This record gives sequence, C-alpha cells and structure tokens, in this order.
Amino acid sequence: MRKIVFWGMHLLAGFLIFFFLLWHIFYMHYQSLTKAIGFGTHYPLIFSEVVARAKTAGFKIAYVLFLIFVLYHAFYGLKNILIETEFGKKFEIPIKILIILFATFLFIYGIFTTLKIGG
Amino acid sequence: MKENIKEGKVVKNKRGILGWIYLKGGNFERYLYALHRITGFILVVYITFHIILMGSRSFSEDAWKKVLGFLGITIENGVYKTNPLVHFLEYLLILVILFHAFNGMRLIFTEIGFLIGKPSRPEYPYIPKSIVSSRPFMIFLMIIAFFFAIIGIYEFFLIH
Repeated sequence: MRKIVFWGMHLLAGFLIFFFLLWHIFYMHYQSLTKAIGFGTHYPLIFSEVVARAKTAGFKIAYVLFLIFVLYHAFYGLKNILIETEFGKKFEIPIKILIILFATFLFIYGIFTTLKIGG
Repeated sequence: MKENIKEGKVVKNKRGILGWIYLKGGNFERYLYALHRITGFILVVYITFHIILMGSRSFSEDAWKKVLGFLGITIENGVYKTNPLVHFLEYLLILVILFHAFNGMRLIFTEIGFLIGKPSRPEYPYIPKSIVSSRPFMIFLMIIAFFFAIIGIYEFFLIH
C-alpha cells in the first residue's frame, strides 16, 4: 500500500513538473518569444534581474515547489531504476539511505539559497 | 535481475542491465522506454549540478559571475556571450527535457488507464490493443515536443 502511495506521488510530481518545466524553459531560454507575448525578460541571467526575480513572493513559492517536485521525482525514479539491477537488489537499503541523504542535502541547500537571496 | 521465469522454468537473463537498451525486435514504445531511462539519468545528474551551481546567486554577484564563467557564459554591457559548445549542449539539454517531459506525460496517462482501450480477445496479428490505442496520443505529444524543439532552434541559433 505504501509503495502505491509513493508511486502515485512520483506520477503526481511528474505531472506538476511538466507545467513548471515548460514555464521555466520558456522564461529562461525562449526569451524573445516570451518577451514578444508580454512576459519574461531578455536577459534572465543578469545578476540584478536574478535577485529582483528571486525576491518576489510568487517566484519564491514557485522555486520551492519546483525544487520539492523535481527532487522527489528525480531521486525516487533513480531509486527505482537502481534497485532493479542485480547490484541494486543486493544493496537495496544502503542505496535507499544514500539517495535519501543526498536528496535531503540538495533540498536543504536549495531551500537555503532560495530563501537567503530574498532576505 | 538475471533470472526470469519462462514456461515455468527459471532461465538466466543473459543481457542483465544491457537488456534495458537491447531494442532488437521491440516496438516503438520499447525505444521510448529506453530513451526515457537514458534521459532520466542525464536529468538526475544535470539537476544535481544545476541546484548546486545556481545556488551561488545567493552568495554574491562575484560568485554568480564565476559560476557563469565556469559554464562558458559571460555578460558584458547587458549582452550574453556563450561558449558555442556550451550553447549547443544547452540546446541538447532542452531536447532531453522535452522528450522526457512529453513521453513522461504519455506514461502518466497510460499508467492511470486513459487511452488504452477496453480489454478484448487477442486477434491476429496479436498487436496489443493497449499500445495501438494510445499510439495517436503518443504521436500527438511527440509532435508538440518537436514543435517546441523547432522554437528552440530559432531561439538558440537564429537569435542568440
């Protein structure tokens, strides 16, 4: 039962990432198009713009949610792939522990850097 | 896993992990499965570096510029200059993301039972109905992904 819940969360996170990711790609990489239709910026990597963007509540909430969904989806998927292998079957528990620790580190670092910039 | 059960007997899976990318005789969805795993691996590695490197923005402007410089991006008077190889790799990454995202959407819809049709008696030539029924949706998603990839060519190589 628990596995189904985790798997369902993996799917749900994937579904939500889809929309975040398209927005992210358009905003950060398809600048001329997004600028032409009235949102976005030509130079999203300039420090002043990065800081100004990161200080707005909307972006901050979006970044945190994006981080949570991406980390869960990515590392749960990685765990599933790894424990399918002969090696993974043998070391299932250590692999799970390592993945959880690593994802937690990235989560704390990601949250810290996202919130710190906004002051 | 190296062992499979076939006709009641345990047989060795000689291919092991290479079975993931052994595509001979597979249908189109089998290729998508292999590509989904490969792109998934690439994205896990990428996202790790992305989170760590992009976090530099919260330390100082110098740290941010150093990271951009390390990635081959310099900004002078508000204008980007990107290392051509990095720029090309960035576009490849967009392709990887688009494929994984749109194929993932297909997998989610299939997983929850949409578009796979009702169960029916297998008939010659025994092509699984679940695959045939969901194929138009897969083609539709791949066309949209392709469309976004074309916009990417315009944005990455014709404008910048």
